[in-house]
Amino acid sequence: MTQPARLRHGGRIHRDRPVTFSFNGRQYPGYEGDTLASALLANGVHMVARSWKYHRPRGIVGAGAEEPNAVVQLGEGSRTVPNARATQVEIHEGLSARSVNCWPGLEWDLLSLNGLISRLLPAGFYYKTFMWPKSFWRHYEHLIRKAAGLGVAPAERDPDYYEKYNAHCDVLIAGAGPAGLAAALAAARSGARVIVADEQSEPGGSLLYAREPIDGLPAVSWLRRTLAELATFPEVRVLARSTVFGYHDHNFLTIAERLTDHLPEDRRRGPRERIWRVRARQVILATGACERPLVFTNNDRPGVMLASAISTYTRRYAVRAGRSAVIFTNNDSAYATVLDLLDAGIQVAAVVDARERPQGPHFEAARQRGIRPMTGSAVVDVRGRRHVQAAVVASLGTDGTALRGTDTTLIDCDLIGVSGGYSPIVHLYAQSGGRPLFDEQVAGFVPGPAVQPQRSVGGCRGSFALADSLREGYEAGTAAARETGHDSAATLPPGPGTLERHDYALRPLWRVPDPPGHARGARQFLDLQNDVSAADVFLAAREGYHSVEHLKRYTALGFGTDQGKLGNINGLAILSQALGQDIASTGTTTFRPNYTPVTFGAIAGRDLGDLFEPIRLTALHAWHLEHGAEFENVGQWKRPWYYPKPGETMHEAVRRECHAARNGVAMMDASTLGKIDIQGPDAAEFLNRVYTNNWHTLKIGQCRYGLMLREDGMVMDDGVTSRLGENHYLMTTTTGGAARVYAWLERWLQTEWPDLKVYLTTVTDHWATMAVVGPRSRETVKSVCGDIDFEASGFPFMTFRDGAVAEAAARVARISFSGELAYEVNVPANYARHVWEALMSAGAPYGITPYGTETMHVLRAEKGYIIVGQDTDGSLTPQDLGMEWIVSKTKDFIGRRSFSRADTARPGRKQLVGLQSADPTLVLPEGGQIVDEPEWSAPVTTTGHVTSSYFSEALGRSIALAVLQGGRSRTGQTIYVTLGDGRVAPATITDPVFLDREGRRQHG
Amino acid sequence: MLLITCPWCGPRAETEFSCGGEAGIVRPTAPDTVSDAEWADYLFMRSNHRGLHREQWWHAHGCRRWFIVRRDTVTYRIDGIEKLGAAGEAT
Amino acid sequence: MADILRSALHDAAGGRLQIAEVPGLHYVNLRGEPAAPNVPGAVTDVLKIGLPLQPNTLGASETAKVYWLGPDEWLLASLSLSAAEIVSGLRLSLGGVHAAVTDLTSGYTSIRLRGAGCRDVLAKGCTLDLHPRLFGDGQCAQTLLARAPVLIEPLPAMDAYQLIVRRSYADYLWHWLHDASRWAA
Repeated sequence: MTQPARLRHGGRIHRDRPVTFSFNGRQYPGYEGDTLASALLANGVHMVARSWKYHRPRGIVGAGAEEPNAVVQLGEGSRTVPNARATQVEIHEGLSARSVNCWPGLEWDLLSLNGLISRLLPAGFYYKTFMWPKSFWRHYEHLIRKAAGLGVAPAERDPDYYEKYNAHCDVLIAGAGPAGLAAALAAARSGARVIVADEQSEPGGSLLYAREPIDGLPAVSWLRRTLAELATFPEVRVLARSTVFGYHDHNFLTIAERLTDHLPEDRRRGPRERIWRVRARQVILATGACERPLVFTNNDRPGVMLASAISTYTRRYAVRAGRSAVIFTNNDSAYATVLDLLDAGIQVAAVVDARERPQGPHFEAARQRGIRPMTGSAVVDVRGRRHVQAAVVASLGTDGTALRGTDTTLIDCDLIGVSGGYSPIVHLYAQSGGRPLFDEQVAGFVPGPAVQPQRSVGGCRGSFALADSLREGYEAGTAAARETGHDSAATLPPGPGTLERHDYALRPLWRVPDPPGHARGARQFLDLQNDVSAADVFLAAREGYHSVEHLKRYTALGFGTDQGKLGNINGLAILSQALGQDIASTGTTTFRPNYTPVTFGAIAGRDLGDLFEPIRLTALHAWHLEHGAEFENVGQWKRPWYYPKPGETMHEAVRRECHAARNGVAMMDASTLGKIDIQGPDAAEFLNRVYTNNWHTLKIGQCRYGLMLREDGMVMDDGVTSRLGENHYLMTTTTGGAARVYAWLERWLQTEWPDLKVYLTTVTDHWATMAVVGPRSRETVKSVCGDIDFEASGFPFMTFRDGAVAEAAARVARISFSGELAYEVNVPANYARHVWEALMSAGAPYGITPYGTETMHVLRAEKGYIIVGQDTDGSLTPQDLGMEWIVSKTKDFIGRRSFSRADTARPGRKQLVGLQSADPTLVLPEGGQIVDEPEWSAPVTTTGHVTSSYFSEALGRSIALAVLQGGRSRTGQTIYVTLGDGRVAPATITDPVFLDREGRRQHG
Repeated sequence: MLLITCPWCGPRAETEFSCGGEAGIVRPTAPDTVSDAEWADYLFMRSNHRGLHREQWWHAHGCRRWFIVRRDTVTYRIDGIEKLGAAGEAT
Repeated sequence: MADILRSALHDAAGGRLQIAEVPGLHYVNLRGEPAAPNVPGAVTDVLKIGLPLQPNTLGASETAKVYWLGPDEWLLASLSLSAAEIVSGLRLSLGGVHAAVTDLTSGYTSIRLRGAGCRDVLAKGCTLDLHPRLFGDGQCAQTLLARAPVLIEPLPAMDAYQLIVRRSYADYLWHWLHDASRWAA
């Protein structure tokens, strides 16, 4: 297969490594080293997309990240990538790509009809049209989405591996063009730790197609030599295919490195992408500049390209972007493209220069080769629909806002190269918190003062000459390294030798006057991806959208995958003109990360599946697994939920477990409860301040339940604390509250009460806790523990004893969260499995049954015990919960003062109550809202909600806990619980304690 | 992501810390003697300052010390850090 | 502690990355004012190690280490003395000084990551600057590795890092380390 537009010589492609790829279903040849865009152009394919609103044919415009049109979907199935820029996609054997915005097809696009009715689709069209009638939006939205195009996310699970890497360096350099490489050299030579990241397939930036020599060498030779030198420094990393996409606080930058997408699938190994999270002491931005288009009628026709892109395709990829070119410029840089075209034997049909008196070194060089530009002129229109056929040229009036007369010249061509000057790529600078300033000389925004330890060099600060870029880069590299304590040996910056700093010599031309007979700004496109024209900006200005942020959202200027890299500046300038103000006062929209799109795979990295969040396991987890437990997530913990026997439903398993706990013996792994060791002479006083009840009276060997409040009086946590010694306590917290409570307690100690002599140590992981519950629990524990007196008189409720359980040193406490006789056996977790199994054997004669959190919930709900975070939600006081009995009236504690606040003390607050549904088999839905009348219709004021609801095996009926306004005074009344399907269920308000109100069982 | 210099452990990533909000909130020494309004002010009212802000941070995944960070709420620039005074006042 | 020893299979892996649990260590947490009488002395009495007062450093002997955790907190790890012996020894030496001595032997385990690429593996989940110039012999740091709180100790002589991790996070961290090592050297 031949590549009709491939130049015979030159380029950095590998002609010995041919590659076949497909585009929109057709096979094409290319070479390794090509981008998809260069390979398409080599095959004579220019038209690659339809525009999203008018579905006009669109071609390749740029050669890099700025490309607005050549947006493609890559590959198929689970590895497909939407919205890739063909200018940045490296081709490889088997690559398949298709246009994203050409439903139903690129060649014959039904929606191009939109183009004929474009007068109906001005800025804000969708806002104005599709908002009425309101109910129709969902139909409109569907159609608009389809018409808008853009890519499709893969529906299957991503099979690839993406990783993150945290890096630190002295100097991070974004961009490996001349400025970045000069900076890297200087910093590297000083011994600094350096990271240089460049988004392209190889470092070099403009050096890959530059005409000027450096240090007497051709640019690419200097590049090779420089990279070879950088490779000798062990502390220097040069990352290719790596986009610095975010500049965050405190010199934290993020880089997306694409590792394998450029390879055929069968040659891919290792991670697909890597996100570098870099903390840099110094940052050098060398991101270059982006050429900007000129705004003239039909400037969106395929064949209209950036002049610099033409140079890139010609010199770097050996591709002839056309046979006969018109170059349209307002500055000197495009004459380099003229020279490149002449070198490649491509006809230059005309050079149209907006300046009256062209000047500059490239112009001089071109003149010596016989180029005679049409000066003071502009391309005002383009002939040709699917491809450029001719440029219409006219003379500009002196101030450039009108034409001189109505004469036009038609120049046949198939390529129009445009250069409206260069826009410094200030995105990262702006993301760092800096405010770009408008520079008249550059006619663009340049970085203002640095707000982080950062420097901008070269094109991204408006220094477009190679000599300046190299010098600035080298100086910045030296200075940045010095600030991190690394001094360079004095060496001279690299330089282009003969070529002195040249004059950019630009005549600003933000909008070419309309050709005779055309409406103002119509089909003069600013944002090719969003089909925003100069006319749209005029309209927005007329309608009052004067802020640039409003303009953006009204017209969609600068949205999309390219984020306005090409068109924004022209849009700002035209808005400024329309408003009669200067561009500086118009300002820019906010530059936000990401500079170019980053895949979700890379953002997620390995933070998915079982690694998404820590899964914390108890020392008994393996036993639970072996015994068929179903698990419940409680915070980060996995807790056994219930242990179904073969064929058992959850309901059956839970009933069996409950029955064992109330009638025999059952055992639960309670190791996840938070445990905080408290030591010091002021420990009791400390507990007194953080709990509502009195702790000075607790004796060694005793345990006490405590309720912890926030300062606003609301319940925050609860748990049992045991006094282990004179100045030694062990606090337990809820499973989910452990970390929060520990932080809270340390905060009070460190910030409010540094005078208290108390030390806290988290011991949650050290202790395994087994709750042995039920009437036969005493026999069970006793049979494996010979050195504790288990008689009720010697070992009463809410006390603990130290002893040996199955030979392991244990602390056995008589604590009950079930209302049953119960023992909590605590052993160091290394012994947990042994002791658990010993207890299982000891309890076997009594039918010992392991139980999970569901049964725990049923048992505690039968007793009316709350679970903080389930029955409370941060808005309930102890009084609301009916727990006045635990609130001391004789001391201060955190939260007490808030009890007398008007809102806390008012009657009618929600209170904890019990509910019994009229239908004893109906388990009310947790979260079900409570209404007072059976006949109701929304909206209705609800008076409370169900917080806990279970089927009680012991009572043979359903029970529930709820919070209800004024609930305790309404005992016996009937309320109605909404079931979520429009129905309600009647239920009677009861006391929240359903079983053994006197507490005889647990004291047994 | 901020880089916060723990007064003990040195510069560490923000992920190791948690922010406790405005520093210098003083708990009334005798809560019963203050009015509801004064108590509510202590409980709920914060300066929400634009500019330099003293706030408490906790090195949760490091040395577990609370300390003070002076941070600009606009630029996020950190101006300085302070250990808590031994007396703990005005923290 | 024992870092200078070479076990029989030390070289068998040929420098490849290895992840192994280091069981059998006894851990004791100590809190106290370093300026208080007896606090540094108690540690020296029991473990023959000077109490490290510099943040993020450790003291070591042949059989034990003392890690700085905070200005008034240390973690003691011992191969030879049991936690009970350390706890009782410390309490004895501390006398009546206000301090907290807590056995955490069952609350921690250690994982050793050794061989080529071990630093890179950690860097995937750790925001510390692990450069050997900045984080080397005699240093340690509490931080997050992935989402697990850990105490990291570099063992440069062994081309290794030791991670002390809370028991409940150990399984998660073990899996994370294996996953992060998948493409390591």
